[in-house]
Amino acid sequence: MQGKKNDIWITGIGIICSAGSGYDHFCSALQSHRIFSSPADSSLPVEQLAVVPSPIKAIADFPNDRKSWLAMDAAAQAFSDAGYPQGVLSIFMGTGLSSITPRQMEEDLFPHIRDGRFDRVAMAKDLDVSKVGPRRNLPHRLVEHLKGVYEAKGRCATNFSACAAAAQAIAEGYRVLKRGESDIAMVGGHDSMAHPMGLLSFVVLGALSNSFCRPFDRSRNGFMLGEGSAVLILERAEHARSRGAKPYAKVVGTGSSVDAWNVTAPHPNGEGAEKAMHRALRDASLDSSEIGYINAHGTGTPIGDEAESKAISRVFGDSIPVSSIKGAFGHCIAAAGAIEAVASVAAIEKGCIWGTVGLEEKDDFSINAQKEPQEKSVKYVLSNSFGFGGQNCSLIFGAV
Amino acid sequence: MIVELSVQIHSMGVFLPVNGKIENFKARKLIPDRKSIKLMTRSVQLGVAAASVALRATNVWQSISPSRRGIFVSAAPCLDDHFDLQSALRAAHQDGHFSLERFATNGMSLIHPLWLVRGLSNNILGFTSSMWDFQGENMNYCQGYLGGKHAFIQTARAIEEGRLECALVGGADVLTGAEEIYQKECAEAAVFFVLGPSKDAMRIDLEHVQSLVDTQPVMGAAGWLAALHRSLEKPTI
Repeated sequence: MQGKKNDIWITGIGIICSAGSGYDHFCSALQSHRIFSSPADSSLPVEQLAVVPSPIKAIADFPNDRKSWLAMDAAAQAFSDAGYPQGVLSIFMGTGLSSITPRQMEEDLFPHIRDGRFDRVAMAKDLDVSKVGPRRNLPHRLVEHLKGVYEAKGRCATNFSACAAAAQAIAEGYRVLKRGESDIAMVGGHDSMAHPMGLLSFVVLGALSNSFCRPFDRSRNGFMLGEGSAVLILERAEHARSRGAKPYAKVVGTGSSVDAWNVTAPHPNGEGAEKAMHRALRDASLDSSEIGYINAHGTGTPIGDEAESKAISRVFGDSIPVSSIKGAFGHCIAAAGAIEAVASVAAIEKGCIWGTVGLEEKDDFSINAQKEPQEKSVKYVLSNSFGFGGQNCSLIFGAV
Repeated sequence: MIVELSVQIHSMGVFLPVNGKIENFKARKLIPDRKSIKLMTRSVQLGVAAASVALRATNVWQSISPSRRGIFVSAAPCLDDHFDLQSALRAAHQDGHFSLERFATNGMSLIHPLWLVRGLSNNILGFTSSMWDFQGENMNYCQGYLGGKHAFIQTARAIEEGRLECALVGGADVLTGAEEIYQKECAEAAVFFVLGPSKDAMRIDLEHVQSLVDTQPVMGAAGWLAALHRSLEKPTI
C-alpha cells in the first residue's frame, strides 16, 4: 500500500441515515440516485422528511435521545469496520442543538408550568440525568460515553458549529493525528431534528422546503430535514500499515473560516466559503485544478446555493463537477458534514461523481452542477460545510 | 502535567462572579452593535462583552488581516430556550395535559422566529466575529468546563503552526440557579484572551488549573478559563 508515513488514512466508516445503515448500503443509495424520504405526519408543516427508516437501538442511559442512539450505531459500525484498532484514540464529534421533543415537553416541561410561567424550583428538583431535557441533552454526554466505551486516552471534544460541526470535528481529528498526539481518531457528527420542535425551528426561519430539496435548481425553495450520523476512523498511515489495515481514502487538507457577516445568513458573495476552500487547498498543497469533484454544502436555499456557487466559481472556475447529496438524504444539520464526507470518500473509492437529486433546471450559476451520477475516477474531492453563525469548513479527501 | 505553548496573552476581558452573579453588567455599554443585543441570551451577552473588552485593551490585532485572526470559543447551548417556549406551551394546555395539536394551532405563532438561533452554542463566536471582523480559523466547543481548555490549547496550536497570527479565545456561561443539578454552588462567568505568537513558551500547569476549577463555583463552559485566569494572577511556574 502506497502512502507517506504521516498521511492520515480513513480505515473505518459507519453511517446511518434515511437510506438505511452501513457504508455499502449508503453507496448503493448514492448510485441509485433517488430521494430517500418518507411522508411526514399530516400535522407537520412539511410533506417529506428524510428519517432513518428502521427502528434504532435505544440506549437506556440516553432516554429519548435519538441523535445519540444514531451516533452510537455509527461509531460501533466504524470501529468494527476498522478492525477494532488499538492505540491512543481521540474522539471528536459534531453535535447540534438538542431541541426538545414533544414527549419531553409533555413529560418534563409542561408539568412545571404554574400560573403560566415555568416554576424553576420545581423543575430544578426534577433535573437528573434520566429526566428533563437540559441535563439529559448536555451536548458532551455522547463523547463522554464514547470515551468510556472505546477507552479513548487521547483528546476528546464536542464541536458545535451548527451545520459545519461534523466537518470541524473531522478537521480537528486530522490535526491531532498530524501532530502525532494520537494514533487513531474517531470523528464525525450526529443530529436528529426531524420532530415537531426541530421542524418548527427551521420553519420559522423560512429555511425548509414544503416538499423536496432542489439544490442549485432555479425553483429551489429550501431543504428537506434529515437525520443521521456518520463516523470515520482516521488513523496515522504508519499505525494503520503496521496492523495491516486498508484505507478507503485519506484526508489531505482542511480549512475553516468565519463569514464575520451575519449569524443566520451567509455572506451573499460567499467570501467566507471561498476562504475555507482556499485554506483547505493550501493545507493540502494542491492546486484547484487537481480537485476532481466538489461535494457542495448545497442546501437548496435560495441565498445559500447562490453564495456557495459564487465562491466555488471564483476558486475553481466552471468546469469541476459539483453536486449536493441533500436532495437525496435531506439536510442532516450537525451530521451533514460527516455524511457528506462519507459520500466524498465513496466518490473516490467507487470512481463515481454523485448526482444532485432534485436538480432539474439549473440556475444561472457559473459552476458545473451535476444532475446525474457519472462514472469517473477522481483523485481528490473537496467537501463543503457551512453553518449558522458563519462558520465554514472545507475538507479535502484523496485516493491512497 | 505541564503544557508548553508558544503564545503570549496580549490582553484579557474577564467577568467573574460575586456571590454567583456578575454585578453591574451593562451590555449596552460594552457591546458595539447594540441592535443585536436583544437577540442574545445573557451568556452570549457576557461572552461578546468580555471578548470586546479584551479586544479594546490591545491594538495588536488591528494590523493583522482579518483572515489571519482566529476565534475559538467554549460555550453551551442556551438552556433558556425552554423559557422562550412558555407562552406556546401555555397555549397548548388542554384539560391539564399537553396537546400537540393545540400546540401546532395555537402555540407555534407565539414563538419568536429566532428561537432556535438564540439557543445555538456558537452565538458568541458568530456575533463577536462579525462585530470585530475575525475571519480566520475557528472552533466552538461544547465540553463543559473542559471546552475552555480545548479552546485555549487549540488556539495556541493554530498560532504555533502558522495558521493564525493572533486569536481571540474564551468562554462564557450562566449557571446561576443550577445548584440543584450540580449539588454545588453555581455561577456565571465570561473570560476572553487575545493571544499572539511568542518565542518564549507559556507554561501551564494543568493540574494546578484543575485544582482551581475544583475549588470554584461551577461556571460551565467558562470554568477552566476562569481558573486559568486565577492561575495567572498568582503564577506557580
